[in-house]
Amino acid sequence: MAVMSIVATAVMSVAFQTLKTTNTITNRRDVFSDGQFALDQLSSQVRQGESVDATSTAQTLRFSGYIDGVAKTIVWRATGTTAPYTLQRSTNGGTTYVNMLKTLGSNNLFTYTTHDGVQDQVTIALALTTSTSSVNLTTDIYLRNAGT
Amino acid sequence: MMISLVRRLRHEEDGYALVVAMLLLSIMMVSLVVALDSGSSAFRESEYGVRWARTLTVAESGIDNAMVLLSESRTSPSPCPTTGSTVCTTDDGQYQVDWTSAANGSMTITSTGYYPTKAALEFDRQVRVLLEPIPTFNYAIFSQNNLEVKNNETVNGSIYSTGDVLVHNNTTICGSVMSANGSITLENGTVLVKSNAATGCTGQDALAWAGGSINGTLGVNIAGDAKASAPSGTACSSTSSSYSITGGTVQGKATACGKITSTTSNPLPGVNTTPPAVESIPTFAFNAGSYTSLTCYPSSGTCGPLNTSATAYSTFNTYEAANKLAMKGNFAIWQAAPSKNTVVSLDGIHLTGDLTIITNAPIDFGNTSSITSSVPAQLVVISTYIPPAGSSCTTNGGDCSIYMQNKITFDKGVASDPTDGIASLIYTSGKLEIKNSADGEGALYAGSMDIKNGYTIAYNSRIAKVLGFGAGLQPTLWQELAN
Repeated sequence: MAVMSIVATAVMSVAFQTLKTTNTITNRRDVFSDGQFALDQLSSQVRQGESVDATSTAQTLRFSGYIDGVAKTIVWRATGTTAPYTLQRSTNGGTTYVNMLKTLGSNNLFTYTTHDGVQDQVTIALALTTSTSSVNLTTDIYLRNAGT
Repeated sequence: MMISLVRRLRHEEDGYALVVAMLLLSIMMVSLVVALDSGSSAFRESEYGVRWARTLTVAESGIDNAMVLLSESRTSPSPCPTTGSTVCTTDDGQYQVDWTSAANGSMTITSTGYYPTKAALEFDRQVRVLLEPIPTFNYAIFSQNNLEVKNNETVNGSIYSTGDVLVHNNTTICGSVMSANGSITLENGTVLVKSNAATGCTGQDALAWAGGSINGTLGVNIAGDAKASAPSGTACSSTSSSYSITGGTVQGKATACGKITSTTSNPLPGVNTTPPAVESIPTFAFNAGSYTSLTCYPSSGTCGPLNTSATAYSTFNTYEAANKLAMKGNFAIWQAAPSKNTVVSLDGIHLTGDLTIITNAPIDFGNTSSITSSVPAQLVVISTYIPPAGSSCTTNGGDCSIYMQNKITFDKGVASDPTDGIASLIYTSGKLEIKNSADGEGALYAGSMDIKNGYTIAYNSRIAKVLGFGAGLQPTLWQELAN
């Protein structure tokens, strides 16, 4: 009886640990997948950007660009008062937003670089927070239509 | 019952280990499957991202290839058009590319990248790039040699001359004046301003910058800086009349290699600065293939300055007389032995679209005529005619490359709206003469020019990118399309 209890406890422990690990792995996969999707979209849109609006901050990126060849005013922003922050996107100048990512560990997403008087580079840093760790995705994007 | 169960547990434990082992094995297998699937999933996600990005580079390869082909000839055909089945292959995939040209010289390239192949498609991405001529015309008035601007004129935009610049009385320049190798003389009441509410001009530097002296007289006011620069190695002196700034007022900083007598709160006499860079007038090179449609005189043979006709100008003038109220399109007029007797007439024309006139003959806009338009239009007038040495060309006419007499006005539309009306580029490598009270938007470029009394010119960047001036094409718009 005692041996069986010990074995049962061990089995249950392994089962719970397996479940926990599975959840962790699934969470990481979902967070990374969402992060990569958001970063792909953000990169693609910024790459087509013409100019970064002067009101842009580390939390909010507002720029004029194109979506499928149509001129748009696009806004990406981090919302929330504490982590996890939510990454939102608007393609109508900020009138309406859709959520893109809800697992941001930091709301400092954007930094801007000027070359020859033209602000043509945006560095994007997404701090993705999983249930067990935090991973930073960072990329530099050049506005291909800036200053032309 | 309970006693029986306890007894069985105490004494009948055969197979118990097997059950536990199978249970553990099952759990471990589930865990293993999850871990493997997770790894596989991460790999798939990563691979997806790589292939997606790679497809974009394939599409970009198509754009690059098109730009190379178009730099050789704008009539080059696509080696793998989207409408066909032929594909171009790169190390990373395949692409198809097309391009179209517009009347203003711009070209639009559309490239679709396929990964790994079009036949076994996994990903495709489409990129569109607009190529435009590199901006060549950035001044309102450009003269390769000395420039004289007569009284009471209004200039919106900057003025450049390699030689001396003489601006007569009461001229308002909303912009800068630069003379690379000469002096700038501003006569009574002439002002350089940074903005002009009456004309909508804003954001100018109002800089006077000469590779010589800057001379102002009564009432001259320079709203920006003034620089009288000397060639490198010149010994500067704060008492020298060479490279000096004299007369009038400089509201900004006045820096001169020589003395400064102008009224200014910030004088720096005896200090040298680098003179303005010498700029050459853009060189025109005719290429019939650059124009989507072209009417050529003579109409037979290869259109170009080497295929001329003794009747080219008169044939065009006949056409102009019959169609002057509906002029548009691209015209090249190649006259044999061009002279002051073979003048191309553009007297009193009305535009119904963009109009380009290219000729090796002189051009005359007539006397007191208006160039009107029913649509926003670009008027490009190019004469490569050089008057013979010793001939006379003044504001009263003569043997001029381009001549306008008395109140030649170009329809500006709403003066404050740069997108309407006519934006004109008047270009000649020879001599341009304009007499009295002309008015227009655009730019004047000439080997040399005189402009007499009351001319109003407002620079309009619509003419900054004109075909044929050898600066090539540059990408100005990059878009990714959903396909």
